[in-house]
Amino acid sequence: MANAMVALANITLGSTAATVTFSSIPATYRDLRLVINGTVTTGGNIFIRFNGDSGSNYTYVQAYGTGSSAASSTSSGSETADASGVFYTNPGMATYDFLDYSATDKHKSSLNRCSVAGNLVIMNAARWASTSAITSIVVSHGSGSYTSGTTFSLYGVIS
Amino acid sequence: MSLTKLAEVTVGAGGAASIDFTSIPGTYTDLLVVHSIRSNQATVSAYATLTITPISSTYSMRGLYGTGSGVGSFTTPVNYIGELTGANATASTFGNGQIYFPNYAGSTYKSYSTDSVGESNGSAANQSLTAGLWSTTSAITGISIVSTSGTFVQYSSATLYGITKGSSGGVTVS
Repeated sequence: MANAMVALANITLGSTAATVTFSSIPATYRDLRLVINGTVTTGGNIFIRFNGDSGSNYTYVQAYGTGSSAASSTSSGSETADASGVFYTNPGMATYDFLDYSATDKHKSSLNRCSVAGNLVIMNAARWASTSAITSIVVSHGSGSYTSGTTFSLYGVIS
Repeated sequence: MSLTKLAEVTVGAGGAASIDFTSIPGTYTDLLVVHSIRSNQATVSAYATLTITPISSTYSMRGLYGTGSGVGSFTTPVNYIGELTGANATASTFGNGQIYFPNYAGSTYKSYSTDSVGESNGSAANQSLTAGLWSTTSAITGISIVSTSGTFVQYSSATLYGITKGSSGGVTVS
């Protein structure tokens, strides 16, 4: 039976970390899935940077619910303006689907879900304005650091 | 293999009050449930709740929904997991959705996320996303999708997958 989904790399933080980096990602698969589960020291935005690109090449649109209200927003700019999700001190999880990540004829789209039951539920559609294949992913945080025990798992999806 | 099918349940002619997965082994990293469900409740849109074994309480949730004409956010029922179609929805249509549990066998509280839609050609078709938390350090050994009114009709189904983390392909992480 062929594998439809292949585990590529994972890490469980043994101590607080500001960033997690996946590198040397091969162009073997069709899509990538990233799953994050844990908490941060101070609530705020998750940032995703591809291939070390710190330029104003990121855009997103999002919708979220706080439990009492729903809203939507959009933004563009560098990764620091691209709130690719949010994490808090309450337990939460996030999934990212990077579609056609290895294609060199299109910008890179991603779909993201962040679920923090104590705070909010959020969905994002984002675009990295580059035709380069994604070879590295840096996950950082705008306000704090990822706490010990937080897990990051990367999978390749075969077409 | 990173994605392994563990179990599949299809409701028979008699209907069912719930769809249950039991004796879930703790050998995977994450769990994924994919469901396709219709209820016999006399409504266009229905919904289901979640029961986790071994402790059937300590849930919390925040949700986001759309109806086709409005949006909103909600926090109850605390173990809500998704939209279904009811008996008054377009014939032969079933709601569908998925539930994702990362680190389900770990020793911390269990976050989960749900996506669902109750498909219908009518105006009451709903879509929802939720952030859930089972505030228990026990491993998840059973999952039940439970009807809140009426029963699930024949051909409703749910499939449970185990997802295993690992490393391959030379990808490094630090």
